[in-house]
Amino acid sequence: MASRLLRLGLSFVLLTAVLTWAWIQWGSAAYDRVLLAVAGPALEWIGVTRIADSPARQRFVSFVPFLVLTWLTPGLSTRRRAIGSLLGCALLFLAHVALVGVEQWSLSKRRPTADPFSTMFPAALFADSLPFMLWAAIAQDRLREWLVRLVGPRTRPDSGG
Amino acid sequence: MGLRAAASNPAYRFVGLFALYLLIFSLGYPWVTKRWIGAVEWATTGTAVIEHALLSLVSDDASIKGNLVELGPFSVLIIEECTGIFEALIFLAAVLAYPTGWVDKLIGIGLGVPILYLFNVLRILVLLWFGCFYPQHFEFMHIYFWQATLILMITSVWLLWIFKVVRHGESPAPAGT
Repeated sequence: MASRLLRLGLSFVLLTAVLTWAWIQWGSAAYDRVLLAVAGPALEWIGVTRIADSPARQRFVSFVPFLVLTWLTPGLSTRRRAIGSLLGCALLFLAHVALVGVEQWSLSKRRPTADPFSTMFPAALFADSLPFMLWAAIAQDRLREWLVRLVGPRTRPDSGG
Repeated sequence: MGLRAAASNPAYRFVGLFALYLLIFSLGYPWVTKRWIGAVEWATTGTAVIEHALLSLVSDDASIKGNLVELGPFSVLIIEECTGIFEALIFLAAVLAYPTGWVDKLIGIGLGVPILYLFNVLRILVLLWFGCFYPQHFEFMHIYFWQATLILMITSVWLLWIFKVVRHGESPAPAGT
């Protein structure tokens, strides 16, 4: 059990390092181009003509933890990993477009709050947690297994949360 | 899957509750910190002092100027994001959304938040070390130890809590569940 956990932990560390390295080497620049090519009209509509280095852009690397979690969670079928990865990446892409939009909005005078941080913060926190939420949905069979073992199949009400 | 079926799936219920707590925290946090800005300053200054104290144990080149921690020619400014508060908020949402008793949740928060803070302190130390001695690798380490591993750290601590605290205290489930 301990050696299995150690192997899993090492796999997480190594795969994260490799994907992060790939992201820095070419992934980040390529993704900027893809983002502008695919979402260009939508971004232009909200006033974004180039992807500046900003808190939003720094969060584009969220593909890495999402893919690491999806690929390395034990017990998921290959089909679920593959479809989950594709759908998850598509949703992350949409979230990144939205994040860039919110960032632009937060810097404009039309923002709903007095300061840019209060507008940007909810979007940033959701963007940070999105890989976790997507993973929880993809690995829902495993998660449900852990949850059902705990609470039973709707036999008693939740005690909290 | 229908809405009713999705609602009866504990995994989807967890994700829904997690998102709800996150929404509450993300809207409430700027409001709270604006009113108690001293708490943020206390957290950033405290983190800077801890980083400096730990660096001083292993190096004579460590110094501190306000929230600026220096190691040799390299320095980092400890800002709000360096205090681990964002990680703690995500972890809090995950613990609160999990269907277990309040005692388990309090244990999770009481142990998990300090563990995440320690991870965070370690992360900044590593970044300072690389910035000072291996600046060519700083960008990689910064991205690796911030965005790339942030959610993995939170997920690890959350799963550790589930397996060591929540499930440890439960009686075995009946067959067929």
